[in-house]
Amino acid sequence: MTDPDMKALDAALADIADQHPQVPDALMTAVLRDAAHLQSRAIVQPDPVGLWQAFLDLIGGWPAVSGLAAAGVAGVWMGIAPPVALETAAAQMLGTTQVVDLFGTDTLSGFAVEGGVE
Amino acid sequence: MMDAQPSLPSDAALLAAYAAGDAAAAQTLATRLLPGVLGQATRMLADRTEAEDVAQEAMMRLWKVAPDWRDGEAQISTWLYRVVANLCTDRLRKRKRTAATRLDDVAEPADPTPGVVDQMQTGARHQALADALAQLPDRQAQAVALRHLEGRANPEIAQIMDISVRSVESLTARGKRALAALLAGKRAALGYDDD
Repeated sequence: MTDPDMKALDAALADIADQHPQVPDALMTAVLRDAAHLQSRAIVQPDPVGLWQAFLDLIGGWPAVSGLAAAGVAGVWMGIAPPVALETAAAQMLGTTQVVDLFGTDTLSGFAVEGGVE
Repeated sequence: MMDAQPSLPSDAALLAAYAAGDAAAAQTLATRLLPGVLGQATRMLADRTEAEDVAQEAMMRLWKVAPDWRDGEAQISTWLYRVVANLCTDRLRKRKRTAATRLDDVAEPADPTPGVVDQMQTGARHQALADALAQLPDRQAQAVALRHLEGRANPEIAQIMDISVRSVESLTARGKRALAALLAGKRAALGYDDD
């Protein structure tokens, strides 16, 4: 490579850099046709955010809902049929428990039991 | 090549309008951007048909990316320079095998008529240069083309190619030396016989 080689290269690069081709009508038409074809797919659809969606977003989405549901079911179940281990643990932590009927009523039926307060 | 005037909507605003369904925005954008895209592809490839294919493909990619475009992350013009440069180097790579033969073929114009000679020499010069570009590694070819054919400054090329300015300087220097070496002794093909 010599200096004249570099000069010839510089001159060729400068000549080519000056070339600014006109856009043919056919190319512009094709580009706009592509744009129209893709536009239906490109249109941004705004997400409808309702109250339920806002609530979901607030608590952390569906995984949080499933966690809440599982915790709720477990809580109800433990209230109806507490495991023995839970009762034992509660007794150890809180001491022995005693059920005191303050009103002397049948809590299920709502009627006063014999010997209780009417 | 694609700078918007202050009073006009920016390229990004037009692209957002296109994504929102504004058909006129596509026309404005294409009118503004396509000449630069076609020019870059033509200067790099020296082949009008291939350049038009590249320009159409680059604009197609712009339409596709429109819904996901985030204003402020990048200039559309920078993004387009990168897309066109990549598409062109893909095509140049495919030419590598035939480039050497073509360089020999274009050495002498056959028609002695002055106007035709000039035209042929311009075409041959461009073809010789594009074929030599095809011999360079992709990144060197892109850096040389952006610097010497597109006239972009090194910091802008660094943004386009997502590399440091120092790397751009290195790539353009090595690329130009390699290009000159490839074209050494081909001054006839370049149309510059004497100094």
